[in-house]
Amino acid sequence: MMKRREKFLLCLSWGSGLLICGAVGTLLVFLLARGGPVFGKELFFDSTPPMDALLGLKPVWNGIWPAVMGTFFLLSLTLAFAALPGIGCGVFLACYATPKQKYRLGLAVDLLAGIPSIVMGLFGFVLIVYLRRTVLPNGTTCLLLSSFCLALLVLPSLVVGTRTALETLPRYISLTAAALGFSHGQTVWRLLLPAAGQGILGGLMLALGRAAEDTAVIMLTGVVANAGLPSGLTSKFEALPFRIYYTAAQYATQRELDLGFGAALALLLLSGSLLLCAWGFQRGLERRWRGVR
Amino acid sequence: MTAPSIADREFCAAIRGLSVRFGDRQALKGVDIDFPAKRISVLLGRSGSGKTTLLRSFNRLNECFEGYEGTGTVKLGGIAGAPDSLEEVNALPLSRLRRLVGMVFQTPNPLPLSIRKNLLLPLTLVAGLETDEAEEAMKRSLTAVGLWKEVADRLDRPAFSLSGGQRQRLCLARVLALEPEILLLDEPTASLDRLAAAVVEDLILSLKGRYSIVMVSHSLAQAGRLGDFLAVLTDGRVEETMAASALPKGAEAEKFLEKLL
Ligand SMILES: Nc1ncnc2c1ncn2[C@@H]1O[C@H](COP(=O)(O)OP(=O)(O)OP(=O)(O)O)[C@@H](O)[C@H]1O
Ligand SMILES: [Mg+2]
Repeated sequence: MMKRREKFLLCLSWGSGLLICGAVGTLLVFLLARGGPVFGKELFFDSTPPMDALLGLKPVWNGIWPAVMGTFFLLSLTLAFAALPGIGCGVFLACYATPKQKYRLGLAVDLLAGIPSIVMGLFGFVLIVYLRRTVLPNGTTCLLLSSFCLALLVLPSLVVGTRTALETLPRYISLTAAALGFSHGQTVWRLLLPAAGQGILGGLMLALGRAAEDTAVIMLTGVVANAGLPSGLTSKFEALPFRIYYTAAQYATQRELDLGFGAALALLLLSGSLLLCAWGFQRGLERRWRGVR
Repeated sequence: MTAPSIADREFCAAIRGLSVRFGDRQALKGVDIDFPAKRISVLLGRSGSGKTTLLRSFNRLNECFEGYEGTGTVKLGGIAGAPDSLEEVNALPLSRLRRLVGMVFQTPNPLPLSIRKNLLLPLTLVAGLETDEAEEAMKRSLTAVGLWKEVADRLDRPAFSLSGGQRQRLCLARVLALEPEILLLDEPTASLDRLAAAVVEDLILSLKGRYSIVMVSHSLAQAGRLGDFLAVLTDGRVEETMAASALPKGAEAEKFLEKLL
């Protein structure tokens, strides 16, 4: 009896693993098959010479280069907004909060996590309308507003990732530190937080992924179909997910649709390389902390 | 200021009416006991009799556990700054108390860092040493536990790459480096084989006279080899205390043990 149940569970876990691999593989093959052939100079820069485009000397009209840069800036700003409060809130919840605070703040974080991105976009829109009427008569939807709303959207994954990573650390670490005479603060900042680095990075990856794919928020807070390279924090911008969405809705020829797949491939590569950077950065920090050579 | 009394100086700790509970589990039930200074005291008793809890009351580590409630007093004697009086543990700043009272756990507990950082981090953060002073202190204490030769060329390897016995000696070195007055050793040889245990036992004997040592042991033989003063705990109470020289030998010891535990 036990044997059969174990076998069933084994099959189930193998099956689930294979299912994930299959799904990712199919997706990649499909994207590569459709987007691969158009993936090149022309997709990014259209007819503008690449060097001029990279240096910002000449505008790119039909290529996705401005959208790549737009998404890059958007993600960087979003992380800049979300990283500190997200990780800080996770640390507070795991290491400093009283049970009552844990319950209340945890509830707030869960609520925030449940807000659909379109609602967050509406919030951003209402916010700028309100600001225009009060302190910022010239304010308009822009890169800054978009990244602020995106930061709110991805905050919960950072908080939950950090909190879980800290709370699942083995108990003996903080006990050892206490017995050696570390203060609570020293234990948290010098031992627990670095030890939880891997898990915090996981939360960061989820956050980055969510921010990279979201269209609903930016659509209401500043993205446009054609803006060129973002000229500043308060300017309109292009972004890859919106570009893809726009292409899918408006394409006239098969080639245009393929360019959309090319853009999707570019988005995948962009978020992939950002994750790789974050991973390398974390590995470096961790090695320094452990002092292991 | 009260005049220094000789009686105070002879004790490293005086415990009165100590009761500790965790939630609805009563771990210690009114413990009264004095531990001699600069000697090795050995706590004996069945599993669950409260030996570890008694040790943790020295450095207030019980407070780190869920549902802790405690009454009674624990006073430490002969500690730096007040060498002639007994000082209540609650009156000392926590980080100073825990530096004065070093503890080695039942299972070796190196931090998930390199061997070097396991020693340097407490030295720089708790003792406030500069890095080069800390390196010196690290070398001294690793030499004291006989580990220096074994790890000198692999200080930057993870501490978890060490064997059980080496880990336990690393933990002891980490505590000794902080220059404590009192050493708490919670079954320091419990997770070691005979050979590694013998090394650690010799090490403990070599520390005799320099520190006040309170250790837990599960073996009467070990208690006889190391201890000057024995205390037997039963179900959260001190059942009996005696000088090690009063310990019966041979077959009688077996019966004695049966009776006590
Ligand atoms: N953190 C805790 N939470 C709840 N109960 C605890 C805790 N620590 C100890 N106890 C209880 O207190 C009693 C004494 O525990 P203690 O660890 O002091 O025993 P011990 O004599 O050291 O045993 P052992 O020889 O197995 O290490 C036990 O009944 C134990 O279940
Ligand atoms: Mg114990």
